[in-house]
Amino acid sequence: MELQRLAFSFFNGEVAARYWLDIVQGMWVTTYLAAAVVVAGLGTGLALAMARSFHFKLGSFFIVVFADAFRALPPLVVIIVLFFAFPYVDLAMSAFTATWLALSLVLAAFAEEIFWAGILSVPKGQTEAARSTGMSRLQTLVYVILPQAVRLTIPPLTNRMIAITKGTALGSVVAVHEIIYYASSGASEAGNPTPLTLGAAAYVALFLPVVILSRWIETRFAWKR
Amino acid sequence: MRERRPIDAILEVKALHKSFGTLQVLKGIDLAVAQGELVFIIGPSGSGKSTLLRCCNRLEEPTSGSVVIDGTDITRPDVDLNRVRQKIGMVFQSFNLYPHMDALGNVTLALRKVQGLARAEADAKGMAALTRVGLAEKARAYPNELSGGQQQRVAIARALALEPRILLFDEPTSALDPELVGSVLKVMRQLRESGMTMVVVSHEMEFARAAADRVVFMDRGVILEQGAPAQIFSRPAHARVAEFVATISRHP
Repeated sequence: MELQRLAFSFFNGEVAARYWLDIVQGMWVTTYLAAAVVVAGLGTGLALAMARSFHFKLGSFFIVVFADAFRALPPLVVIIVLFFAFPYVDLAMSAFTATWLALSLVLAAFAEEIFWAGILSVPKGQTEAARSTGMSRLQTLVYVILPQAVRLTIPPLTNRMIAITKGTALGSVVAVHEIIYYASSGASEAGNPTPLTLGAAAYVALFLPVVILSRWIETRFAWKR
Repeated sequence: MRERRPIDAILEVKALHKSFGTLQVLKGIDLAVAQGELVFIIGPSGSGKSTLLRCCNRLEEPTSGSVVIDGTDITRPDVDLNRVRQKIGMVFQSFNLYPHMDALGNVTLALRKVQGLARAEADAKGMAALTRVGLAEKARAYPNELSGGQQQRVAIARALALEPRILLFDEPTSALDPELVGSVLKVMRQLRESGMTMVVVSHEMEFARAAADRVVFMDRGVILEQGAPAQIFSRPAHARVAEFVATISRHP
């Protein structure tokens, strides 16, 4: 065993001291990129699932096409297309915007399917009861169906949120200054992979609370009928 | 239309047809229900009883024919369905209470969101409705904390709170354990005494005999026979009615 060399390469205090501030900066970018993706992705996904529940044939068709396409595409490809190809159709965007938009679209696609499954899982009698008291379709959806659907969607949704927000690392390929960008450029600059270790620690620091929080939410929203 | 309907009919169904695909479920139903009347609809399963009831508030869209509630033809395309539905209370076999709301929340949701009442006012009306069904003390209980009979009474209160002109009951006691049926029937009897117009799809023969003004027998999408309970149950004109009554008397 060569523990000393392992320590020198991956847990090098001198290298860590030089790069930890970069990583902290990256954490900040990762955090707000992830937050922006969650807000836009879940919001769009919910809106699409709601629109789909009104059963307009053409609308539902496009929603399904969107959801299937963006669940199938690798997020990396979407980022690259948005960043490198869209300027040719006069839709240039920053690396940050491209990454945010790509991940939001992918999360929206998954979230739409998850919310839709949740909506379908609510018994038809709930809609009938609400409509029979004069509530509109939208009121029924908002006050009766969604509160029940959302509880069921929390576990799959939090898993998907964590998976997609970790995808912010993909932004490093178009030079978004997030954790991995600083970690890998630091590693090559120093000729030592310790900044990557710092990066890993940064991800754990950021996402472990999210994972624990999601567990807490799941138990809190678990309910009996 | 107004002058042609019987003097105090609350519900008037005319030449109602309903098909699901090629399956004709209702083949021309005519039925008038007077103010304060309690009408029982009985008949074998698949005879179209529930579909008829559900056409009366357009949970099912009639294929043709009309349904007039309190002078409004609700099958007209320009009718404000959400408005007329408040006047038509519906009680379901499986209660269909909202599980994420307590009893009072269930009763007041439409008062607040459809009628736009402030919470205090809605709560007062909701409590009055729960009191009518004998469940004021359960206002803060969630559906899963209530027995089936209590859940169904909350569902009745939910319909009552909107001050409907007519109540439609779709097999209200079929999902209940036998010992809980009585509490629901008791509430229905009280409603009848207070003059509520009711149409009930149910096979509670004893209740029908004691409380119904009229029993309607449906078979294969048509009304085969109707009349006073004593007539339908004791000396029906049609053999099919006699046969059916005999069957459910043996296996209620």
